[in-house]
Amino acid sequence: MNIVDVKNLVKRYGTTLALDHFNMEIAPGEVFGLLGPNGSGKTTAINCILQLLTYDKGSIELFGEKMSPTRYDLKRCIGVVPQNVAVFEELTVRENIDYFCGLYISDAAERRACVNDAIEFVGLQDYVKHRPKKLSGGLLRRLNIACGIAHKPELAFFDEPTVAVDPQSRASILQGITAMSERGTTVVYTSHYMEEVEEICSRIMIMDKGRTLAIGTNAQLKIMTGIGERIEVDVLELPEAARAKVQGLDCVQSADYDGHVLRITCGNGQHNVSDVLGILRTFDVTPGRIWAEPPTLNDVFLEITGRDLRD
Amino acid sequence: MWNTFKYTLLWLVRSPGIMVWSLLFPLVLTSVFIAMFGPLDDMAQLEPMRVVVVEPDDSVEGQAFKAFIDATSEGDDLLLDPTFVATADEAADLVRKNADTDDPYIGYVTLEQGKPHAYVVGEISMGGLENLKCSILALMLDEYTARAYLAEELVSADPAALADPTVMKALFEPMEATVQMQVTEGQPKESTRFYFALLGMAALFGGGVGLAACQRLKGNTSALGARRTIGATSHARAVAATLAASWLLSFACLAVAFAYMEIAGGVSFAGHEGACLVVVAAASLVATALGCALSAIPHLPEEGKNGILTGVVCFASLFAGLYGQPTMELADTISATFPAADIINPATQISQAFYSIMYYDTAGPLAEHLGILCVMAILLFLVSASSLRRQRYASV
Amino acid sequence: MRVFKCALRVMRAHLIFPLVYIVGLSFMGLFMAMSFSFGQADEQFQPARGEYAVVDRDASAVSQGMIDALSAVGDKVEVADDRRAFQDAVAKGAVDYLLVVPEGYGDAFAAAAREGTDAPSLDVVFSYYSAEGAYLDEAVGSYLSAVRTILAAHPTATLEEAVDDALDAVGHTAQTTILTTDAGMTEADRFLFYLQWSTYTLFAGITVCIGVLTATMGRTDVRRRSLTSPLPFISYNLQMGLACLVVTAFAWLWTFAIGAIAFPQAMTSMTVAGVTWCALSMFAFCLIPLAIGFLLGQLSASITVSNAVGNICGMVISFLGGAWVPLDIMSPAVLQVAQLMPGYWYNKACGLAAHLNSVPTLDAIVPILQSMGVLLLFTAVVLVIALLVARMRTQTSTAGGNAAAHTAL
Repeated sequence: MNIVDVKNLVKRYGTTLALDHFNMEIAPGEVFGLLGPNGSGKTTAINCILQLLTYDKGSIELFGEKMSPTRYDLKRCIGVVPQNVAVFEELTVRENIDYFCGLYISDAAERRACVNDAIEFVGLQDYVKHRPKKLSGGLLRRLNIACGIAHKPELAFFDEPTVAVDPQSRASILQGITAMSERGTTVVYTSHYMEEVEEICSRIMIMDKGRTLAIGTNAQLKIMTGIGERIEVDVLELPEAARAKVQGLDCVQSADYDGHVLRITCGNGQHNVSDVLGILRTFDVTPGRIWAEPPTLNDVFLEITGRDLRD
Repeated sequence: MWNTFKYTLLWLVRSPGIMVWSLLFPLVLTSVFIAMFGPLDDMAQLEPMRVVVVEPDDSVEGQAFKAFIDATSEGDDLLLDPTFVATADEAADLVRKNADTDDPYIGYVTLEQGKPHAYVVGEISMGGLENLKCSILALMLDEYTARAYLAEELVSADPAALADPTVMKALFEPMEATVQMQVTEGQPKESTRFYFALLGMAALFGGGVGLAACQRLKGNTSALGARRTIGATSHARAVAATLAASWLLSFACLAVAFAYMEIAGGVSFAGHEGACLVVVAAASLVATALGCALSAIPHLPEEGKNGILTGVVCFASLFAGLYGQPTMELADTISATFPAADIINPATQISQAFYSIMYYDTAGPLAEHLGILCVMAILLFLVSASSLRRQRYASV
Repeated sequence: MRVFKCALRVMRAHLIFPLVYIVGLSFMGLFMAMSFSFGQADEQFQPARGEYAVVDRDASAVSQGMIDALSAVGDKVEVADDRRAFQDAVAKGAVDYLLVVPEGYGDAFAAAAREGTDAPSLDVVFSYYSAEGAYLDEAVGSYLSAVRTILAAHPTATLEEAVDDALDAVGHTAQTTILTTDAGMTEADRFLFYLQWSTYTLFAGITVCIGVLTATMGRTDVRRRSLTSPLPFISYNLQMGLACLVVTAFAWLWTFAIGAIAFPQAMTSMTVAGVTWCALSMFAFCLIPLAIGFLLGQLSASITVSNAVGNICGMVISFLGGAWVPLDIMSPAVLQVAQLMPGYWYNKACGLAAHLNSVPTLDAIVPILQSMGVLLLFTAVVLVIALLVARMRTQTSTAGGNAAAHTAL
């Protein structure tokens, strides 16, 4: 049984198609990365799943049951950390967490334990009596997270939780999410930081214009897009014939020389660097620094969604 | 549900904007009222009228007139505050000179051929007491004239009758013909009405509490609202708890203002405190419902809704006569011309509910107004129900 | 003029505020001033009339005579003979004076009059406006006194004869003449009342609109941008001030103009100089809420707070300006406090201005200028405080710091 099962979801804002027959299946225990450019429909998809938005077509099943706004039993198992900090400015850190936790857990003793755990989990012990106004950006984000997961949900949605957060806080947030996952929580995670997604997600979906463009593990996506490593070679003089020969290699997609550096983009291959170096040697070119970088999720993302600026 | 109630109350209490409206507003205005009306109650009696009197001559008529003036300007409930001058010209001068001061004369009185003649300043008053002082003076002189005529008649018909002490007493002694009766036991003071007006208006302005609370309940108004909407608490219970908290806060603030009136201001509600608080509670309920209904207006930011609330409350209060003496007449005119306007105006219903406490010794009329207020609250809640019930939106 | 233009655009985006607070509330004053019916300052004196009801359980000549006597000074309203009906009549203000004549009153009264003992008393109920009640009560007293005298003097007279004679006697009234002291400008007074009441709406309206404007423009992040730009602090504030002035001027022009349109008779009865000085006085008054709104903006007050402060201050000022209850019935202590409030000086200036001649002398203008000077002094004090706060705020945490972190509410 899938924890999340979305089929053929269609959502329109007026004439704009926000979700175009969108499908999503998430298995228990997964940390599922949802990637896409701004306006690609990630948050819309999450809001539809959470029944905050009406949708035009499609079905949404959570924990194997049909989701609706009044399925409070299902909602009780879900935690949400929204993109914007959504807390009461008038309430203190502890009161905020207690309030939101109270939406899920009515037993006071049980809730107290949960709230304490959550405060410890995000490391806000020293700030429990502070109002949000007094918190720094990073602490505010941590409060935002604590409010969403204090009730120990089985399924947690994190919508860009690390925006405007320092590296230390980010590391701790990611660690926390991993810890939750290890405890068995299924996580849906959206972010624009590819290295984060690469680090914690077991499966990744890239979407754009309301549609799924690609889905798979990190490695699967790289293979799928056929992107290999990038190689840069410092050479002082490079005959055009040598560049053409390099370009002619099976694994090479492009090879450009600007008078100092030869930049090569490879497809999937086993020994690309040695192939390139072999050709350079035949032309008696002595390379200076040689630098090879394995493909990143960023490359995959740009390859799939295009490099053009978005509006 | 208790959780939502508790924290809704907590954040409302900690919002300066909300507390300024619900607590500071009635307290400040109460203080002003106390300062203004405290002394007013002591002089609730009609002040003696300042009038210039031309010193009458020594004739019989003159002496009688002098005695009459003296009688009305002596004792406890004196009516006139006379200033005597020698001639009519002097009197006219004195009246003219004092016309624009803070202590004007209402006119002057002189005896012309044995008959009193009043010359009064055409009075333009804002308070509905138009011409009243002059009229009272005129009436007093009429009374004197009538009595003089009677005396004359008696003298010509039967001079001996005047020697009869009974006749003399009947002719000259003031008569206590009437006794003021109160239609309710323990009637509050006149100025209590202004405190009622204040409570009514403050209660309606308290609708801002309900408005703010409802705004933060909706998934499409803020990230906070969205977060609350996707929580696992039944929406109906969240709505109920929120409205209950808003109502309780409005009511509690008004109750504080009420206690302040009675304890610090010494305003007497003549043992009707319980009934007054019931009206306050009903008024807060309507106000909460009004705020709730306004929050249902789509595509308008919260501040705009607040503005509309202020406008609605101001006009409702205006037409209910809550803005002091001049508006009370406007309110009377409106309720005489459009009786239906009274039924749909919550401010009118609130003020009439308060007046029912003052003027009726049965609970019937009060219950009637309370009933209308409750119906109003229910209708307003119904108006907002579809908006409040909503959990899914076309866009957030 | 970038800041100025931007500020006006911001105001346009919040159009609901000027619409509700300035345009909408201005009609309150119109309704109120229009509802007044001023007695025409006739040559002929018209006595006041009240509404009375007589519940006649006696139906004797004496009680019938009472109704006749009352009809000279009031209009009769029918009220049923039960307690609830009495309460209704008084609660709804249907009568000013309700007289209950008990059964057998006429005979008891006659007997008492003939024997020279105290007459039995009548129950009366006065309404809210008890002054009218007291007035009608006098008429009853006068009539009964006459009946008593006649009955005492003519022991043989029947009750009917005595009543007739008494009515004849009370028909002899004193002459009352209106002195034509300058009380003829009733329409101007109506306009003056409108101006007086406007203190509330202007104060609330302008405070709120300026508060909205300065709060929006002064939002932490936006303000930080402005402060870090090469635009001089003074220029920024001047442009903001100008924008606030435009909003205030709109409120002033609108409020004055609809008053002038609604009361054309007042306009024609006043001189051009009078109208002009009234308008100037109003403008001087408008500057005070402008300064208050500006101060609220500097204190980063929310729109709700501005709204409340504007309303509360507006009510207090109009109250102490005598727009709710005439000041002349207030105690001297209240009057003294009232003189410390701007409403008093504004009313004074308008009152003086309304009665200006077409070519006013300097002597007539100077007291108006003095009152306006007091108003400007109020503005100056608040503005100085506001500017001090603005200065201090450039260095506080609300100018930047953690408060800049966006929390969505």
